[in-house]
Amino acid sequence: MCNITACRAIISLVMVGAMAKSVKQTDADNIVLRARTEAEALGQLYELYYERIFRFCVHRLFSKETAEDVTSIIFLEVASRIRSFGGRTEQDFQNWLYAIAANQANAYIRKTSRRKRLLAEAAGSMTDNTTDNSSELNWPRLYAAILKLNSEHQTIITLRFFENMEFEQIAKILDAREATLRVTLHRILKKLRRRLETVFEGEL
Amino acid sequence: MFKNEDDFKKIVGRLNIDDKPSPGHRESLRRQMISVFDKSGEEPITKSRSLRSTIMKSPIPKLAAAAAVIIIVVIGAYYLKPDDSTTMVDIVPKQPTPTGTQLVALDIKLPKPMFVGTPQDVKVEYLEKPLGKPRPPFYAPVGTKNVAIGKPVTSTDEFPIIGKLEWITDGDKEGADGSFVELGPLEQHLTIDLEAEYNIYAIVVWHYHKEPRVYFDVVVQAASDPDFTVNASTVFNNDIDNSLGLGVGKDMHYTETAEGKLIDAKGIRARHVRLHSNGNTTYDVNHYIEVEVYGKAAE
Repeated sequence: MCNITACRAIISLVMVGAMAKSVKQTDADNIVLRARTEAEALGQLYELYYERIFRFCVHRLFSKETAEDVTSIIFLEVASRIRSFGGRTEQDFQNWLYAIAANQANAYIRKTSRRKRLLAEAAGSMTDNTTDNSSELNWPRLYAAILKLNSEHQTIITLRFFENMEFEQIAKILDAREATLRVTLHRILKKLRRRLETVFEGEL
Repeated sequence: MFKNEDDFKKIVGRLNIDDKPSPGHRESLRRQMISVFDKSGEEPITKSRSLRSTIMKSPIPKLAAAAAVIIIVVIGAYYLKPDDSTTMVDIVPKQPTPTGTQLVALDIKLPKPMFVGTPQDVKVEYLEKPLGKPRPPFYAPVGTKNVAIGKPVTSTDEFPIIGKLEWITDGDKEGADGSFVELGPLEQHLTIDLEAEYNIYAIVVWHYHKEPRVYFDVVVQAASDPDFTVNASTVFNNDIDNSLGLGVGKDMHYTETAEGKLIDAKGIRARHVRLHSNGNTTYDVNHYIEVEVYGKAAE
């Protein structure tokens, strides 16, 4: 008898938990749906994602100043296109937002002169940074090596290791197959390791 | 150094990155975004609706619109018609040669095309118009053959992202995966050592022909020494803004196809051939499927 009561209590708790989760999920999804027509809902999404997108841009573009510029471009594009956004859930919105962010970051560094400037900035930080242990891989050095990969590979590295995303989500953002991504990532890391082993600061 | 994905994740986790945004930017961007959102709500719908209703109400604008469409189609058909006076025809040497050398058409084996039809124009300035038909034969002295086959290749990217440098002179020109070599981003170049001096008449390069693309800053040079100081010459250069610093190019951009790009080398004497590029219209990396150098042992 006692066991039955305990079971009922557990089931009730699980159901309440599931309902709470479902309500929370629905709230976030509702914001996404409302954001197509209501500025206030779009503002809420902005607050939810501004910092994440800014961080993504810093990780892709090194310079905070450049990251601010590209973050602006990303959110202004979101504002002008959200009315025709076809997704229904927060997850859809997140994938869409990161796809825009990845495209804009890639568009920025596509110009050789800009890429060279970012590399120079990273190289400058490398020499300025005297507090870091030189045997340890520091951010400017890693960034310089990542910047020498092709832009799609740079995006995969950033989404996977800096944004801590699962392969499933990265696949949706980049419109790629999950299995292909796993193999590609393995190859990118191999390539990155070789670059880090052979490229010295002087070569930047 | 890291050994695997988990190692790399730990390294990234330990990095000290200043990625805190400034509050000022956050606020001003929010205002701008809401303003853009508000503007995007009204204008396009009302404008397009009013324009459409104006056209549909009266027969005169309808007729005018139809006439305009017909005129555009006629003008477009006239200008897009394949023109025999394009660059591809210009590269065929006139016969007979002043020296009386016997010329024969080069037998260039082409790979299987990876897409059908004339490539659509990619939006690139100073782009060569697609020929719309097979390339005319290229004539060279009897005995001219591909002297690059199996010859060693070196590159600024010694660890290609995909493939191996030796694939570039292995005779495989197919566009499928497993045939092309992907070099890193930014400007990259590769050099083929022909291992002897040749009179070079033509260089044919296939960067990538799985889809129509344009590669930027394609510069092809030849020289007698590996440092490109003796008998150095540039046989092709479409770096129109001199971004590689090798001189302003006057050749046109071109769209990649299974035919490859045939460059008239005019019989220059050289042992080393170097090809530069700087990304393409799809990605910023560089690709090569095959490079053929048609020549004869130097006289």
